[in-house]
Amino acid sequence: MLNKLNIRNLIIIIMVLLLITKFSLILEGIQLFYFLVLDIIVQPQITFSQIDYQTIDLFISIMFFFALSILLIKYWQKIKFLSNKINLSSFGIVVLLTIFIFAPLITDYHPNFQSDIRITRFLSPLQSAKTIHMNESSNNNSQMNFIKLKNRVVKSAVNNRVIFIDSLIINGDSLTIFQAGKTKIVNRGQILLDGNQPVIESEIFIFGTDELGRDIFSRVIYGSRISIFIGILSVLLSLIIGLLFGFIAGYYGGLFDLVISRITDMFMTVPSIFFVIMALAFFGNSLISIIIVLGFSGWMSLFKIVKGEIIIIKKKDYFITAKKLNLPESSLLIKEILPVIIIPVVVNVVFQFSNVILAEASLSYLGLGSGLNYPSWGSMILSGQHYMSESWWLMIFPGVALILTLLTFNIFGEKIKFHFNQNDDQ
Amino acid sequence: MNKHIFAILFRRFLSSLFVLFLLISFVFIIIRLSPGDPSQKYLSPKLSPKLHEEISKSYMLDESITKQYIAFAKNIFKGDLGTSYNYRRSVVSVIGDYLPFTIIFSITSFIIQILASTVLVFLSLRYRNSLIDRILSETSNIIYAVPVFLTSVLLIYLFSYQLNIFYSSGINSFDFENYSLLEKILDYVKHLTLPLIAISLTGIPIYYKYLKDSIVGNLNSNYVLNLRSLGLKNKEIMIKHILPNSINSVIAVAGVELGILLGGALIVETIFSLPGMGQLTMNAVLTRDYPLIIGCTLTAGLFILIVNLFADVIRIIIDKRLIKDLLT
Repeated sequence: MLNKLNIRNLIIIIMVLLLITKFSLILEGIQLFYFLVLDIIVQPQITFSQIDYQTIDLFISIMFFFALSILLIKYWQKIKFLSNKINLSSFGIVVLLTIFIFAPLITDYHPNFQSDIRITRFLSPLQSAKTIHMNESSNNNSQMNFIKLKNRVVKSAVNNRVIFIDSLIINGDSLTIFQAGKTKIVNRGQILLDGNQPVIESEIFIFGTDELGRDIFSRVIYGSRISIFIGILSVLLSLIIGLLFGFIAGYYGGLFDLVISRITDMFMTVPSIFFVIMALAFFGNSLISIIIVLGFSGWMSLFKIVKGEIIIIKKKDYFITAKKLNLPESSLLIKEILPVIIIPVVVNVVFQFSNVILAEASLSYLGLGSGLNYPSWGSMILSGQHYMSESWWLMIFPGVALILTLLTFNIFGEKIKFHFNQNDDQ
Repeated sequence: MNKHIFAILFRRFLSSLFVLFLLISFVFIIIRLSPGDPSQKYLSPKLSPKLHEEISKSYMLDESITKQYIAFAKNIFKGDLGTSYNYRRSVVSVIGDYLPFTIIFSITSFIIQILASTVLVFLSLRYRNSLIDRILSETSNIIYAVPVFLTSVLLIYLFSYQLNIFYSSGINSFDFENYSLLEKILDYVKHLTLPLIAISLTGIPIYYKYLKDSIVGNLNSNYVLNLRSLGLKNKEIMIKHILPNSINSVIAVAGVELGILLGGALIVETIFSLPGMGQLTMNAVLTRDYPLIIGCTLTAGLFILIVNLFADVIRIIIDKRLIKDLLT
């Protein structure tokens, strides 16, 4: 059954699943956007102050959802690689991309959402917790549609309208709530009622919750997002540096080559983790500095490949002819050199990507990433290992996600390498 | 001829030493440019600012970077790496305390990696394209993707917590001095098995893949076909022709990997709290012990250079044609 699926089928399955399970969320998102446009015209200042990262994120996800659907329908048969059969690496890449784009649609909670830790901490996978809801009209005095809807639809780290409970007793006008040994008395008017009874819902946590009562599923999803984000940006940085230096050193040679090659040697005499740790320890460990440091620690192999290839190309007849024809340097680079070096460069970039993801996880595990500011697999494993004996899910889920991601990109790299080597032989 | 080769290699080694000096100069400048002042560690704000000045003066921290660098370069060429701020001893003696463990640990794990991967490669070549071969290569792919910190934590959980066979930290027990010789050896084994497994599992898939790929590549080549048609036995072809040809790339990789190992297995040493170079470096960086950072970087760099030099020599002994590559 799996052998017959191609990538196109997989994408359709994922989109349909998303549409079915999150239909109301998508609709409410569109409605939210409509309210936003209306409210901006009426009260621009207050509305702008209410737009945050999560809201924009949700809008972008929904936009991508429709854009992708339209693109898929329009270019149904034209995109060739979509009809490739599914294997582990293409499956993994499609899933990771889905997570990367649709994270706000997939998850039910904000990754840092905490509430009533007494009840929600250490819930095992698939365990649910009962909730009652505060009456919205009582504590939400804003009249703006946008803010009202936003509070309901967009997930935020703080949500005062939900209370997690073990059980409750109704005595006349007040409710007694039991929360793992703690009791609390709430006025009946504050609670959302259905007829006479308070509405009790149960919230399910697919991967369980961690020691601070945060949903592990959404932390893993957002963690993968961060990993991919760091991976893409720092690989891009090393790609730019490696290509630029490699081109200068290989094409112009001479003094440039000597200086850049010595610098490369210098960085390669010591394991790059030394530099990374030093730079992070001395210059702070914000997200941007991690990206820059990892990008700067990975360009050496790219430089060597590009330089080596260009030195070979320079001796080839077609290149000499092109040069004699007085082609400008930019078109020499783009038309003659790039098509040749792109294959080894792509292979290297894929492996570099998995190296960066591993390095980021290792750094967060050592406590050097900015793991407290964003959910990162490494820091989740670090904090999860202390509870391994009682709550295995704290560590296992991010660990498995990390392993599968690395495996996906390693196999993908091997596949490309094999594919192109085969073409070379023929 | 031989003298000529070694002269070339020696010259290459010297130029690498120069690069290493450039590197530690670079590290020196980076450290001095970064914010933070190591003298603050000794002093509480309650003490007089005069004391702060004195300490800064004694470590030359009040001078300009250029002056500091000139003094530093002079001392490096004298072989003096300075005094560690944390340990209040000379950097050389501090590194001397941590180095023996790292050398023994990394060479042991290196031998384990090479032996295990060679055995596995021959096992999968013996049953080529069978189930065993496929299981081995898939497992090695998966193990290669498992980060070392995850392996370590899982090993500790399984063998230290659940089964209680091995210890999870340190290299010997509290009352180690009172043990008999046999008990001491057993104690070492109990402490070091898990870190050795954890660090070996990172290397075995690499060597397995390189060795297997190059042997398989050689097996399919024309010269092997020719030798076979001449009636040579498979065993003879393997030992005399295929192995020397395929081992070359593996030695190059092994040189790099062993060099990195000797620089300190940072993550494993941190998890199992082993007294090795990785741990020392990490602590030096985190506590801004400037002379010690330079010392550790220098040691790691030296090891990589020396091991690579050895790897090159071995490769030349096996295959004389490589001299040409090394010359360029």
